[in-house]
Amino acid sequence: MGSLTTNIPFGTTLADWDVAYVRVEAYFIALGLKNKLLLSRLVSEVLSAAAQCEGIGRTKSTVAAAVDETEMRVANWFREVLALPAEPTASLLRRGRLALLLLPDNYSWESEFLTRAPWSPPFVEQMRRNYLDVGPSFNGSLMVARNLDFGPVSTLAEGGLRQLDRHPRLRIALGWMLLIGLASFIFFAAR
Amino acid sequence: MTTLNKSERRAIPGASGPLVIEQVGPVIVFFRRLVFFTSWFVLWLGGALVWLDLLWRTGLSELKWVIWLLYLPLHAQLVFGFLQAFYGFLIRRKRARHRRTAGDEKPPALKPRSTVIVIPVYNEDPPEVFARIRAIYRDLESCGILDVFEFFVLSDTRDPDCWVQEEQLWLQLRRELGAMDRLHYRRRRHNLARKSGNISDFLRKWGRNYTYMVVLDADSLMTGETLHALVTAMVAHPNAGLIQTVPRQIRPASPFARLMQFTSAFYTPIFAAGLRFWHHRGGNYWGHNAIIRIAPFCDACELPRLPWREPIGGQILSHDFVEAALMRRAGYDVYLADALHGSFEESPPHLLAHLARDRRWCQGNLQHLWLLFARGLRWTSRLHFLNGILAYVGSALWFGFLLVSLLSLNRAVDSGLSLIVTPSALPSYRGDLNEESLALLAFTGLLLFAPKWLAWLDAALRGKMHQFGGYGRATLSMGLETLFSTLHAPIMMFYHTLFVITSLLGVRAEWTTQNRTLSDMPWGVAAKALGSASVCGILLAMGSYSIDPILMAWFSPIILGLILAVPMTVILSSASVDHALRSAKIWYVPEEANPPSVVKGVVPGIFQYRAVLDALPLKGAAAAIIDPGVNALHTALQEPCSDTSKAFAGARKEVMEAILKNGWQALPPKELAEWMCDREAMIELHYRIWHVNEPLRHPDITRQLLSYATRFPGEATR
Repeated sequence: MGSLTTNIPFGTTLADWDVAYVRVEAYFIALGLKNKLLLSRLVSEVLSAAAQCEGIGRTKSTVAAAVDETEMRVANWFREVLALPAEPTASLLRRGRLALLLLPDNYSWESEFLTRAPWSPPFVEQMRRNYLDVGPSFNGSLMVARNLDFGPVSTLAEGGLRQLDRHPRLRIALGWMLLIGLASFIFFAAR
Repeated sequence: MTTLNKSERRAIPGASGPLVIEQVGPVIVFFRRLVFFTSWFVLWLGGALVWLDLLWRTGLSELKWVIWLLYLPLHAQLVFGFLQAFYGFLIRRKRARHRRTAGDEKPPALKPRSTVIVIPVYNEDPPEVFARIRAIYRDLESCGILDVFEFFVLSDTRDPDCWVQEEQLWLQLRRELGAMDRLHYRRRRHNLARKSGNISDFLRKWGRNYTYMVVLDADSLMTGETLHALVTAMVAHPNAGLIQTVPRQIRPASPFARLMQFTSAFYTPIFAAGLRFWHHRGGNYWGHNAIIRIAPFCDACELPRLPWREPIGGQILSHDFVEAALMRRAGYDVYLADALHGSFEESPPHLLAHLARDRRWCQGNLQHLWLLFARGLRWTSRLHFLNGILAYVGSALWFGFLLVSLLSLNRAVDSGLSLIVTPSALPSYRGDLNEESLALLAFTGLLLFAPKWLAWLDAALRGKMHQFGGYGRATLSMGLETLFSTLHAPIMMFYHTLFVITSLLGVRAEWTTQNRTLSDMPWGVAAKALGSASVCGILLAMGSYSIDPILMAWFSPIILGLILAVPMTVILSSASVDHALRSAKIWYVPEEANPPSVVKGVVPGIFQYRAVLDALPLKGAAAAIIDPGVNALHTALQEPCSDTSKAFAGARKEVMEAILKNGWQALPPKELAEWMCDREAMIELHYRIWHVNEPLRHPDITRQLLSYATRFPGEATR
């Protein structure tokens, strides 16, 4: 990255590259990298490669170029580790991130990250085995309500209530009559 | 992956364990029912006639006829409850003498992955949910029967942050237990038909993979032994459609919850045994902590829509009773496994939460009125419906009974006439009015309080008193419980009456998340919620005093209960009072004396998972949008978007720009949750946030992104 600090591409500024540095570093930390030396080396490599990107500073921002370069490297690495040469980049990234997420807690994989083959066999085995299976395959059942005859009392009650629904004024009047009836009962009963 | 060797695994008691399904011939069942209902009828009729005689002796009026008519169903309920306790006590004596011995039978072999444990959740606290799942998983593992089971978390969670935490903890738990092919998660996009719809959806998609289903609530726990016993019983009894356990309350968070826990542990055994005594294989389902045979459940138990409209018609709220009834209608048996002790749940922490839950249950039970006369249902199912309805309508009847009694007494006092007592109309009874009144009062007291003493005697005869803190503490606990339940009863009467009226008037009960952890309730909150009960108590005191001061004394338990609603609720939610009760071993229960391992495992799990979530740089929806790993997880769990229209793509783009400009917190939670179901949208948003350096991006997004960075350079100033 020494050349980047002295020879930044035209159309970009040191401040732009600072922002790009933070973004790429954040991305690697979000993936789970903690080792600072490794982080700074990887970030430097990514930014140096991004600086060579066509259109940088003109049609493409430094951040976009840097993150694109990051994702390309990570995707290629996932492609080789998971042995999925034909997988599209977008789904490869998701699958690879999941595979990393599914590694056991405290599993040390940083030394393998973005390195060339060969990787340690247990690491490769873990990554290839780690596939998120949400549930067993669908094997459904049909659930349809069987007819239930609610009986004459309920049928009659339903008919009456639906009639009241169709005549809201009647419903309100009945409600008031009930209320007045209750109040009258209490009034006369208390005398 | 955790594996246990032979020495670490616990032995399953198998056939020597508690009896799940009682083997009783049809003649015995008939005889039991005959005895139960005959004694119910005799006691009910006896009480009804004595009460009528008392009213007649002091002059029957139209008001007194109303009082007597209101008394009939109330007295019927009281007698029913008493007899359940009485016969339950007797049947437990019989079982104690006929306990099976080890080696009687070999338990049947259980097919691997034949049973799914489903845990429907709705905005529950994810660390608590997954801590419980872990505890059950480990218990099954230690029993050596894990192979039989799979787990399914069925989420209907609407809160976006809670949803993402569920996904994260599910993954964490899978990794921790090595349960990659055994612990599954599904979140439903649309919360149709609430919990019953949640389970139906699961069965439609995955039902045929399994033979049996164990339904747990988010706060449920079951031991491996109990789960094993349930599955074994289902295998051994091909006609068993459903077996319901009797969950005990555990992990009380307040004195109120301790009280509920004690009631559950001390009294429920004899009531549950009594319930089983008369219903035998025509049992009921309480919605959780039960095992169900999937094939007939799918075939016959899909819920119909009720006549008319909600809240009283339409979609069924209390689905459990109906599903049990439909299972019976299909010819399968529904049992109550009251002998199994490894089934647990948690209680609402205070009266307000209890009432909120009761509001829903009241509406659900009133809906069962439509089913009382439905064709094809068994009479035991109808009786379960009726009992459920009367649990709430009974309160309204009691309220009416008190009101009409006051009016009648007021009229009698106002009239100024002397009381002329006529001789009794009962054949060969020549006692005076006071004697007859005291006899009825004593009889009513017996019906109310004898079950408590029967429970006390049951615990003593079984040698279990030490599990309740010893004879002295158990008796004191029972006394305090009686005091508080007497004071609580009028509060429940008041609110249940309100619930019945509001439900019938068409006011819906909202399904909110149960609050299980709130303690130390503020006075203001209690007063606002329960003030109306206190006002009712004051009015009752004034009304009864104005009629006759002695009358107020007779009404004092009801008046005091209503007036003291607010302070009682505050005291029974107090953490310091809870601590004092715990130290004094008041309301002490066996699960405190000797907690099962499955219960012991919950609290460490909750703390661990809270720490896991707290340690993450981003939480909830923010993590799903920004964090590469969590985004990958979340999007992997969503289905591809089926809408490929231009209009939809345009709408999606608009929302994305709005999120980038204003932050996702500006979206209402419902909209955000809907957005988060769109897999492609979430992928694109994640891409845009990481790749784009727009000055118009919301500062919160920048801040969240930079929370990963080890340093904060000039970007913060742009």
